[in-house]
Amino acid sequence: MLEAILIATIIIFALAAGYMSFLIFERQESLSKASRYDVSWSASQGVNEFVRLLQRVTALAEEPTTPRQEEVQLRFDILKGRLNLFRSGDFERFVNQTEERQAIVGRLNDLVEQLDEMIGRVDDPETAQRILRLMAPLEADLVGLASEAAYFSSVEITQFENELLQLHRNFSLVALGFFLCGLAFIALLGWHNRLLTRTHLRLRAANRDLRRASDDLTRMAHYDLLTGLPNRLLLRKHLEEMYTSAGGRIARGSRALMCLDLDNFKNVNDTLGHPAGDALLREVATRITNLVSQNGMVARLGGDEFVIILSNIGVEDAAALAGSLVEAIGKPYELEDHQVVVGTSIGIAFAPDAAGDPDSLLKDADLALYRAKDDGRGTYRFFEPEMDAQLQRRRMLELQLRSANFDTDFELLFQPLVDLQTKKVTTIEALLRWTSTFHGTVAPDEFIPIAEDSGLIVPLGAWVLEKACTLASDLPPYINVAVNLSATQIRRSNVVDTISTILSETGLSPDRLEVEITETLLLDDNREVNSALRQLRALGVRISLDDFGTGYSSLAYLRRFTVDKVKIDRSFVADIVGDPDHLAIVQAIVGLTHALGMTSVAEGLETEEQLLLIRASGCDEAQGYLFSPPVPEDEIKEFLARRGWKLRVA
Amino acid sequence: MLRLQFSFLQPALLCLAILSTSFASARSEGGELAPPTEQPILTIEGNIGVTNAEGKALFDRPMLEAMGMATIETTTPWFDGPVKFEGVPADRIMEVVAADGTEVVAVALNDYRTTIPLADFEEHGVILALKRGGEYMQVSDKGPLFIVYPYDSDPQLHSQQFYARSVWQLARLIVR
Repeated sequence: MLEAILIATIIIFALAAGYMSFLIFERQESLSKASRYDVSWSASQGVNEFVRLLQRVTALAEEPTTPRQEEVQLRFDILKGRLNLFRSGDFERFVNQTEERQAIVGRLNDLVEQLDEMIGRVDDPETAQRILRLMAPLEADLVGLASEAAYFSSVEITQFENELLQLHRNFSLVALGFFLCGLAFIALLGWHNRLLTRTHLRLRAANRDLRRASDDLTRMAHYDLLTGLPNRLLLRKHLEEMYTSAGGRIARGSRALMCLDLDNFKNVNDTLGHPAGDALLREVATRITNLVSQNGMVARLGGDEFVIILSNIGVEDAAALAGSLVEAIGKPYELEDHQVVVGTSIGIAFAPDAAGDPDSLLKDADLALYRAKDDGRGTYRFFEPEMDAQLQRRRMLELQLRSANFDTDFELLFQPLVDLQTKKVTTIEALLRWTSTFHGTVAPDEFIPIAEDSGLIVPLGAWVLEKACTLASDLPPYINVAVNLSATQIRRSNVVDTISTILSETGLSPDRLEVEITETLLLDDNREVNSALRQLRALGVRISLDDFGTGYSSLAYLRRFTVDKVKIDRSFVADIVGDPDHLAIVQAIVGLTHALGMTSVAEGLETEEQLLLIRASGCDEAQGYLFSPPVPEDEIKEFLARRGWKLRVA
Repeated sequence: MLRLQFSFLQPALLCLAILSTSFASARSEGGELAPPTEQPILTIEGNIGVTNAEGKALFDRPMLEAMGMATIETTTPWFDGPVKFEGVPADRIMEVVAADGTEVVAVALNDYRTTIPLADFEEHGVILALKRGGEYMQVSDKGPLFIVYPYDSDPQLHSQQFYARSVWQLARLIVR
């Protein structure tokens, strides 16, 4: 709309300018017409020339001389020229206006024609007198014509003047139009500017909103929503800046990185629910921030992992801070009417002076954290180079594990489980041993996690199952074989298919195979695991719960998921002599398993005293060095044969 | 429309041509202009360096034609359609009489007079026309000499100012 008006104004402007230039041109035309060689002048010249010829002829008549005759001839020629002018152009137009003027010019024409013929003989006085008589009447006519011409010219001039005046008036009007157009234009521009300004302001506001939204997004991208602490991304930026700004030369001991992890946080989430877990994390974040407020940056990597970057801090100060953190975080939390206690483990690494990078610093701190966890949790550890050596060893082991030939490098040992009533061996548990070419004997605690992490647990587990089942199929039908099953093994492969294939290949009855699982496997409440275990039970395979009592021993999963056997952890058995609490625990577990229709097994039985107490507790079976250490296939067969499947125990 | 006979010549060549014609006819007596042999049709007076009468330079038709003719074909306010004029370039005549001034007063046979800036002659290539349409002009037909500008060569020449300078029945030039 506004644009249309603006364009219209500009067009009017252009038209006015065009008309103006047309007017100026018209004016020029008019002016040049007014100043044209005019009729009045020509007429008066004509009179002059006529009179001069008259005079010359008169003079010649008085005294004929040659020069005078020539002079008459010249004057006559000039008059002839004038006559030509009278009969052409503007003058002709003037003459043609009236018959009288035409008559006068006609008579002049007749006169010139007559004189033309006579002028050669003008030296004859007779002829000269005749010429004078012919010319005389025309003098008055020509003077009259000149007067009329003067009037004609004055009328024309007045007419031109009027024309000019009219043009001037139009010119003024257009100029006024120009002025008004200009005013309108300025007004429109002003209006337009105001609209623009308003739009500009609105745009600026929109821009501000956008920037705010963008800031929020940046904040969301860099900060943890739960605790408000910087997140992994910002931590990473910070670490990278630290390394680049220091130019790779960070004085040792000046900067430290702490990795912090809550112990058993998962249990809080599982038992009290996620809102409680979140509240706990917020409170933990607050406690950390309060202690690290100055020269440090606290970030939450996710879950219950926190990272602290500390600048200008020495080893002693770092140790003191870590101690304070462990203590502060270890204090009870009030969550939804529950009092909760969680421990924390901390790993500390110092930025190396050269060639470091954020990743290795984080890795070092993480290694220290794992060491702290391994060392019993609720404590802190500094990174030491040998931790890295352990990592290297782990990598080496993994490599060797990958290239291992199961049949030559691995060996299955068997340890019997004895029925405490009948004193007969009911089951032999298959236990895996690895003798590495480079590292010698490697403990299962070390290589099983590696096998699990690398997925090698799947073929290795299948190999164990096959070996164990093959052996069992050679044994009397009342002896079962027990094989440990890891969570990874279940998750990463179709363990049900593997087992049913092996069972059919070896011809072993499914009820003679016991798979031992740990509490944590059930704790995960994983659908795949549950379904696999149910399918195995449906096949007829028995399920044992290994190391019962060490983890988060919930009775809920005993109810949710029926197992056949519960193996009481060796730690209870070890202290059962002289510790009535442990005896009570064992008795309770035994009572519980009986009530639920399960078999109870005591692990790690080493002394006769332990045997006595275990038996007294009503426990069904036992396993341990008291009967036999884990032994190779040949020896277990021999053991079974020698003992006649029976143990002689007190 | 406009055609100047010598317009394509180099100025040097032009000078040579003038010199040779002068030597051939006009300047037979060492710097003096030869007197006219026929009835003079043009008188030049005023600040001139070369004369052949009492302070005057008189020219008859052959003398003028001997200087070399130029042609102008142009439309005019006095005749219908384009007209061909032939005559002597005015600036050449001024050279021949060694004119020294800024303007020229042109006087006609009927004593009409007008003032023309001397610079006009060279700037516009003005000629003193002797012929119109190949015929000598008579006194009754604006002859014997007519100051003609090449009106069509420049729009500004088609104006009252230059029409007024176009004197016909030219008889005298007074250099000032």
